[in-house]
Amino acid sequence: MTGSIFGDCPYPIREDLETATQRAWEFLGKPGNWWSGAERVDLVAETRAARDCEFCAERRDALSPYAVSGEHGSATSLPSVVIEAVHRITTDAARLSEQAIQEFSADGLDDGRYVEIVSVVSTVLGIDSFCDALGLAWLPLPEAQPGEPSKYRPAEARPDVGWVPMIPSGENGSNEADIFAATFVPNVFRAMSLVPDAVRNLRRLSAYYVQSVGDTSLRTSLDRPQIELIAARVSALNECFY
Amino acid sequence: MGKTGEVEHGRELIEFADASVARSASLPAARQTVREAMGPKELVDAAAIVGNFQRMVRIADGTGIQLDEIAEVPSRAFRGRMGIDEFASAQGRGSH
Repeated sequence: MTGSIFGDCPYPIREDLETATQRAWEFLGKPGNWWSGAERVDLVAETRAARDCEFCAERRDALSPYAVSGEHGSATSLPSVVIEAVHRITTDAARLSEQAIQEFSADGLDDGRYVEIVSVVSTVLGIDSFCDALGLAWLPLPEAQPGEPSKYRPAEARPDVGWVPMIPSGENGSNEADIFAATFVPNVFRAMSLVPDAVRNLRRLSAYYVQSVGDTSLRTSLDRPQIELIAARVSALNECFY
Repeated sequence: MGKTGEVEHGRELIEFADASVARSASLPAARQTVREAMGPKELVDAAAIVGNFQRMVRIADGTGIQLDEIAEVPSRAFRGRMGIDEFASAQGRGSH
């Protein structure tokens, strides 16, 4: 497919899916709330390194993530606590805990920076996994854009239903009215609201799924039971309780 | 191959999801099976669902969010039967 972000893909990819991916990939290279564009590109590279990290594989097989020690096979010169966070989210997210996040914080990785890492890692994993499933090459690293992080933190964010501060349901200010317009917002869409642009990016990637839980105008060629079968299977393989 | 329960092509889709997440040697064959059984558009959309939930699980487990109230009560019975409450990520995450 000439000009496709996915290169020479032998399968027809929906335009909305391709557009969403293009925008999400460009987003990764832009300065965020707490990380510069160049740092965010490093986070992308580190996420990819984590997938083949031997220490991560050894730790995932251990009874506890604290039962083994070692060095990550890293691809960047990011601080060690950042590399640890990226690798944990990528390869062993199910065994993350509030204690782990507190340990990250004690080592200098504050909540805003951590949430932005969750956003970058999850975006990369989603797109790379799509490519893996179709046998496509991963996208080239995003182009790092100049500029400074915004350092924006929503005034409404506070401890709520997770391990990181988030905007409580129904309490968003005017700055986030575009992403929390509905009466009910599932926790998974509020989870990264300490970094609102991460939520905006996530909503753009809804082309990978369906627009909303109640939306009957599915954009995909699969029926709802097939969609949910795959969703449940992937979630179970990752031992994701939510 | 064919139906798993009520889901058309459920078995093929499960094998495809398993192989995709594991990036296993069986993935090319699983991909081809879905393509032949369902079609190329369906294959792409199945891959998109895999990608979506590889993303979503890391958001949920990376931030430790609790189950939404509308899901927590109705899911209690089958969570136990299916072993979901035994997931490592389930600790302290089930109720408000």
